Amino acid sequence: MSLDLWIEVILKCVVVFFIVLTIVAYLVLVERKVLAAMQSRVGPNRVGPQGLLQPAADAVKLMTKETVVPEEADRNLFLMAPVVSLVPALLAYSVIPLGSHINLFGREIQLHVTDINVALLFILAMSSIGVYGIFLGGWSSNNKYALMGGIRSSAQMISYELSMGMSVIGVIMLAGSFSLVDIVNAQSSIPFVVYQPVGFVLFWIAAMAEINRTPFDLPEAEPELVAGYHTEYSGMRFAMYFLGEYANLVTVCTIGALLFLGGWHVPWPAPTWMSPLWLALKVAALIFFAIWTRGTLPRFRFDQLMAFGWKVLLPVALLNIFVTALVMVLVD
Amino acid sequence: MALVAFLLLSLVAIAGALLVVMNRSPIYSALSLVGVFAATAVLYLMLSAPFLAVLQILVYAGAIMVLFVFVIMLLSLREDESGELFGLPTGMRRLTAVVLSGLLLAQFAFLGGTMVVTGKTGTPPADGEALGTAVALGERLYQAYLVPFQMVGILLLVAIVGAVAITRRHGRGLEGHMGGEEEQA
Repeated sequence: MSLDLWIEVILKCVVVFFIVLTIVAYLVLVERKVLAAMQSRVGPNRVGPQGLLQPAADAVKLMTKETVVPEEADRNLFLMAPVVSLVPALLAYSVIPLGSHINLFGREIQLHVTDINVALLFILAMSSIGVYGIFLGGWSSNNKYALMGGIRSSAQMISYELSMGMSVIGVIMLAGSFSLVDIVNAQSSIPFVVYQPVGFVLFWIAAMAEINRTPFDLPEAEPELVAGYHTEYSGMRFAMYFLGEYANLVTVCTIGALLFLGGWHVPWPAPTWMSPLWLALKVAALIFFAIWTRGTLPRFRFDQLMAFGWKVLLPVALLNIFVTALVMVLVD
Repeated sequence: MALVAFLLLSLVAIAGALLVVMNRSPIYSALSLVGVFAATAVLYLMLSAPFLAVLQILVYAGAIMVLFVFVIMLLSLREDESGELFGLPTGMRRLTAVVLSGLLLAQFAFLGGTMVVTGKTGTPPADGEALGTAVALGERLYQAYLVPFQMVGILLLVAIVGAVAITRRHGRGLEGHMGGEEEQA
């Protein structure tokens, strides 16, 4: 690779990293504000105008707090687990395109760090590696609530990972590629949600369960498990779990927008430099929907969660693949 | 550049493999194995087989090893202090280790010998780039190797049925203890 290409790639990595961390930091504030509005409360409004500096205050607080390691904990794994949870969440962004391309300094810059032809599988793989962080944290804490939370979350993630993988196969079949750029470009006229409505609903449910969002946030059910797998964590280690969780929320919403809502394509003619904006709007809509769901639905019971995942979600996902294949063969 | 990366990855893979067998704590062994899988996945990537590399992470590190670690956690296995393995005495275990390692070494010697005799080395084929994609792999699996592929599928199905049968027989008394629905599902 030539030197300017190296510089471009490294700059892209740094920029994507900062964009993701900023979005995640403000996402916490947005979630608190939106939930407050839904529950007729004011929400955080003390730090800065309208509470806009709250993320900065949170960051300073979390970074200066001591990391407490329980006496009986497995020290190495305890310290490693939050890192294992955060790193795959951030790695997923290396293959997620944030728009089409822009022209800057006389060269065409593609708005993705890399476009491998197995990008979608790579993201699924990263989400399956993220499970380690959660249950290692729960196990190494040597605390029964943390262990219960860890076991619950690994069982849940293993179960729903399968449905999530199955739900996107319809899209892969229609686009004929695992590459996210190819999948988005296949939707330039009609978004795949029109052809794959069932796939979209399945993907959304499974993704919410995979990232432990309400109504599937059993790993940290407060009344029964204190705080679940991160009960014993404090300071920056706790913040890493928190960041990883919100980064995953942004990831699945972006994937949802890219796979089903047409990515950066809009029904009206638009210049390519505006493509990140359209994508951002679609992602923001999905994120709002996720927060809305959290403000609306109560939590599942654990056996309901397992029965739903294996007896409803998975069979419907398999049926969806079958019907998609059948229609594709008949139409051809 | 590529050689340095290869040597580093091999070092990680071999060190990980040694840690798998030398660790006394099952959970550290399992995690070392995850490290081995990760290193092999990057090796696949260097052999221009990205599909295989991602599947290695997705299936082995992300699904199979997760289940292993899950079971270790559920049974709360700590350090193996008993020194017992399948109830064999130490002498027998040493003998087994020597015999199995000898077999493995013989296999490597045979492979190396064949390479020297036939002059064929382990270099990837010229069209390796195209072979590593999902499309190429899929075409091979579902056209050229359809029957063996389906047979492997049936073999796995048999294994699953067997596993269910085993848990059923031992699980009778456990059902009430485990709390029903979620365990069967």
